[in-house]
Amino acid sequence: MNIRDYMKNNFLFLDGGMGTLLQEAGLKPGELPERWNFEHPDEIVRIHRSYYDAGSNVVLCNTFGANALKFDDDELRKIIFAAYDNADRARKESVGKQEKFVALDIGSIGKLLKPYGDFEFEDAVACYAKTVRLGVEAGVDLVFIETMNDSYDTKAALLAAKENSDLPVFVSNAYGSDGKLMTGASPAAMVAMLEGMHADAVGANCSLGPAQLRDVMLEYVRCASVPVLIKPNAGLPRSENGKTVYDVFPPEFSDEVCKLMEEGVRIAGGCCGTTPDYIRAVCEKAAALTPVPVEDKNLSVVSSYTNAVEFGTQPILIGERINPTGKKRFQQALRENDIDYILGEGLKQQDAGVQVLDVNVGLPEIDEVKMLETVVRELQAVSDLPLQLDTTDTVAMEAALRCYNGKAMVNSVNGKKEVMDAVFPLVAKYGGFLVALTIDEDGIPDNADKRVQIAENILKEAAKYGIAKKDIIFDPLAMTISADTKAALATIDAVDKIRHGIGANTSLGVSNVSFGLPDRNIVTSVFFASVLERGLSAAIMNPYSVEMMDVYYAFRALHDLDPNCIDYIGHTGRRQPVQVQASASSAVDQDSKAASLKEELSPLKNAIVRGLKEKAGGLTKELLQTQAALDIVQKEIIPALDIVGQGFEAKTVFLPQLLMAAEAAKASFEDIKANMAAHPEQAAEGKRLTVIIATVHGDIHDIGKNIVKLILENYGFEVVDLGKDVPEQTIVDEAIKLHAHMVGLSALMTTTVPAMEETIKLLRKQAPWVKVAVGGAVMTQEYSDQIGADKYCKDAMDTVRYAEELEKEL
Amino acid sequence: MTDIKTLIAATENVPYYKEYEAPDINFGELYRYSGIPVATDTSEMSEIKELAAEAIRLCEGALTYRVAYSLFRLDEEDELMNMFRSSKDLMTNLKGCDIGVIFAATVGAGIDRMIRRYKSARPAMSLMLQAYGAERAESLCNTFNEDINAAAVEAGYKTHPRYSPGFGDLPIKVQPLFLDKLNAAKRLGITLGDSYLMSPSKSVTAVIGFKKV
Repeated sequence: MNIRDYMKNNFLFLDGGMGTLLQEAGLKPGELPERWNFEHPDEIVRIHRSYYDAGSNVVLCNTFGANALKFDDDELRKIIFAAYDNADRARKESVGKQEKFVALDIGSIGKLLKPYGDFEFEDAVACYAKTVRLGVEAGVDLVFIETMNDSYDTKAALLAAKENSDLPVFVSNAYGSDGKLMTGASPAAMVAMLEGMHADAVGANCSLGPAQLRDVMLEYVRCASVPVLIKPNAGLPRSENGKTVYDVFPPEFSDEVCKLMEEGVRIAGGCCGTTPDYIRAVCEKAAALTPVPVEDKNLSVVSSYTNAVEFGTQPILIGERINPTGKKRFQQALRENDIDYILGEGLKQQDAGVQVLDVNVGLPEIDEVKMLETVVRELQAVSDLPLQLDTTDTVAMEAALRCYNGKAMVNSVNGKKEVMDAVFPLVAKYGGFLVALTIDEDGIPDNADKRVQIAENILKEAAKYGIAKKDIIFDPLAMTISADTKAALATIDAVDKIRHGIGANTSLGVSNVSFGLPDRNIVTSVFFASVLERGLSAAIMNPYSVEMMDVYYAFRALHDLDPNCIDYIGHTGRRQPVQVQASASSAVDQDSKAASLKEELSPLKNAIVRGLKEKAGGLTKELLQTQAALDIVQKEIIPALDIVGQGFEAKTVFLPQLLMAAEAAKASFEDIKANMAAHPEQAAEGKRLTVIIATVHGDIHDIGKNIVKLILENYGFEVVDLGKDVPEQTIVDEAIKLHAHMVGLSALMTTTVPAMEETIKLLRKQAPWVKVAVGGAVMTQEYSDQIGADKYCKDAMDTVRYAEELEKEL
Repeated sequence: MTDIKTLIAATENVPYYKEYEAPDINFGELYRYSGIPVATDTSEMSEIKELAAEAIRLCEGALTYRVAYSLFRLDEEDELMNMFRSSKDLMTNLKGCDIGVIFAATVGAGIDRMIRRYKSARPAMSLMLQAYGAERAESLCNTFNEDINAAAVEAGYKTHPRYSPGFGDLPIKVQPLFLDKLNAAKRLGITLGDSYLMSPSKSVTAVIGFKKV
């Protein structure tokens, strides 16, 4: 029988531990167990058979570590084919009468993926794909991905399995005692991502015993609409007379596992420390149980690498600020590839209280495919909010969906056949929560009923791709009342009908309603309140609008969604705009040497010197009313930075203070830049020196390099930051391309100094005009001379001084 | 702590794991890691103190304190011991020691995300978080080291100062052997990059030698 059919009405029993049994059979520490498949096939068959004899339906091939990083192609093939043959032989030889299946076992390749590690996501997919293809060719019945402790790694493995086979794929993660994966994912987040990508069963294994995994499993059962599996350890290991023993024995183990099966777990086995006796005990006890049916939980969920956000129970705020439309400063950031600015917009919105970030980086003159992918990768590395991928370019959409670490919100599809044909297959493959606009070939209907009709058509078409109603959220389109005063009524009505008639979630870009009117926030926020009242599930909105946040918190408090009105009270405490005060309280009693100096400073200089970021920003805005932007830079910001820089050189100011001042200066510069973007005619000639900086190949320490970049930028230098672990030739190519005057190289480890030396050699050959400054923890004057650098800079200020020297020579 | 006698009696050197509560914060070290020289009087630096306090607050609940450790016998024929024996500097450190423990300690991946999160928006905070992570990892090692010292004394040994790969002539390329032996990828989530750097970055591996008293 096909395993998918068998699972429908039956519990499925897995096998137990392999490692301990192999050690008992003579596997030595350091020996690779996968080689035993062909070196000691009889031992492997014996172990597999003992599990089938004990009642296991599924035995995992001995292929946990069989991947292309550990074995060359020939040996990998040999291992996987031998492993399958061993399991298949055991299946045929077993006396067990139950249905028997053989699974390809896949464990982690043990590489941390970028950006936290140095392994590319696509390389991981390719690596898993090799193992999957061989397993399929050998003849396995299913693929079993297990003991994964990172969500991104898990996605790579599942994607490889789905792209290279039609077999059922089970996915099992290893949770810590805090109920999360090592990289932070909750069970709800994992279920959202894995179900979206069509895992056939999901669950947990290893790390803990069945009792300690109980809460994790109950959360799986609550969220999952596919069968849930458990494969726990025999408790925790300890040493007894020189042997590792586990503290949970078959009776207790099977009790705990069966209790979970009564709660809805459908697939069970054991991991480290378990033996055929454990599996036998589970099978015997479970014989008295009836499987709890697997039901569709009908949850509408998106997820980040850690968190799941559920729609339909609480209004969800989607931050709209990562979007160039009508924002000159944002457009400039996109053109200049200023990812930091974009990330800053994301993090600010998170601080303002949104639960999802919309990401729209479409601008005619940039490569949207590349930009969207880059921003998604960078944003998901710093924010734990789920993202809404907002693009009309389906190539960009697919690239972003592929590299997204979770289940994304996708913005958008609509009722046009052509758009549905392009977008549905992507969501069907990668998973996603899809925004569907109620517009079709005939445009936007002016009444609610026709919009509802389009929604129904979209649902019908989506169903053909296996995309259910729970994974679609309708946007019935807010239109401005300044053009048609009936527009808002039609939208409000449509929200109501879709929510309560069709039973689907709804979302709106609410601010459109007030387009063309004065004091838009008033109209927008009242509209927001009206649609929330009629059942709106989510709004794409501006979280910096106090009025919008007022409505949101008040609505939640009024609808029993905010216990004790805690969030509302917290909001009212924050909603007063921060006043720029004449004297900041706590920072006054500074170290006395500098204090006397500061008394004579202008307010803005003082704010920068003391590192008061908000104050510096506020004061700059004030000054911009009366002074030219460049005057402020020359007369206020640069002199203030000089005071701090000199203090740093004199060792009266230290690194954290230097950075705080730099941040305050940066806040000032942001206002200056925004002002200049609005008045390009005032922009004057800046510095001419172009500086490239990078942490050299093999080195991933970038804090020092980032400090240097920040301070150089503060002093007005154009800095191109190539990042960390940058190959030698990349640096050279960039230097040639930009005809850079100066290259700054950073290294923290002695082991990466040769890479620095090599980079300098290549630069001398291919870009002989470039001056090279070097720095980093390991660097000394002597080292610097040895590797042929032009200048050793001991810190960020030193680098500024050198850049100033070079600037003068230009 | 599994006592040293049990460790020594073990025929197979299996790794052990221990999860600690947060050790007390060593502010002197925290400030030093952030770039303030040791002798500096920080009592008046309110903005630094506020920055540190905020960094600590941001990390609440985001750190874990996990250690994996295992006994080693210097005379054993395996790759790791070969590398130990061929390091002159380590052998000086281990003078008179036949056995000891190797360990890996980590405060987890959460702090790396935090550091990255503030990297561009608030570099001073990112620096302070770096410093805090370094202090946390070091304090975790100290706490573990104290436990090991106590257990060693009880078993009639004294411990030598801990020694990490990358110091002296013990090359950083012993890291894979270290981490494999401790099963650190699976149990602590520590993985290695191409240049043998550990992720999470606030992780430490080290050797502590035992000398019979």
